[in-house]
Amino acid sequence: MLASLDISASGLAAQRTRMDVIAQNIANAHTTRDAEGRPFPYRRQEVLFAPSSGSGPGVSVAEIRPDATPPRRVWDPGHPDAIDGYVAYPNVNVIQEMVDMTLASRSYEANVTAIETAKSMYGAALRILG
Amino acid sequence: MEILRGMFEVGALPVVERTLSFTEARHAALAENVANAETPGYLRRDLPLDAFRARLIEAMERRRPGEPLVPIDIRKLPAPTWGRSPDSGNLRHDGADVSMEAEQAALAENALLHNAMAALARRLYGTIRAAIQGRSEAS
Repeated sequence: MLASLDISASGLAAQRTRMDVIAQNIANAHTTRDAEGRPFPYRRQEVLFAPSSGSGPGVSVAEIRPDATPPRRVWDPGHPDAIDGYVAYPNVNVIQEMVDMTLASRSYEANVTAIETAKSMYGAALRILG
Repeated sequence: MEILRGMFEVGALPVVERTLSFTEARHAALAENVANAETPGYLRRDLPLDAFRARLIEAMERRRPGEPLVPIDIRKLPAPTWGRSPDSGNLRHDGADVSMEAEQAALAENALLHNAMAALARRLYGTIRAAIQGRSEAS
């Protein structure tokens, strides 16, 4: 029974990681330069899930990898990060991130429901001799 | 100790106990499906309630009076026949087949069975306790 709590907790952790990455994408939706100040647009990061293998059943974040979609180019010669008059903006679509965020939030809640169910079952089993 | 085994392995108690082990194991399988609902290529797992019930009935019918119920190996139950959820495929392109609604319904159903069996076990142990204490009412 406690193993199922671990499984649902792995789901919670995975969805939280996903939420962190989405927040990072939204925060950097208009970042046109890298940490050193060179004109290089932020690249959208995406989370890949895989069933966990080593530490018992559940889910784990297999990889956080950059999205290969090319950056969005906008004609703005006055921009300090413009190259040949074009500014490269990140390949982040804020609406898509919002949808992902809702999905992550719902998945998180589904895992919470599974934990609540396990708790009620655990409680019932404990009351057998109560 | 023979008298103790006789006390706990007769009547409905072993049936209730086997069912509780089954519902616990099934909950773990369903929780894993919920955790992996968005894992590409993940195929849902489940423990078949029908097959478990059939094994349990078989074991109950084979049991002779005064003998313990044979244990049921949950890991040896056949794979569920209702495989992939019908509402997956068209809208999902990641090869996964977890339907969150079906998983939540199965979780709720499984928890109900578990809690009903736990309540029944509580009553049965109450009866045994009443017999030990020589009282007519179980607490």
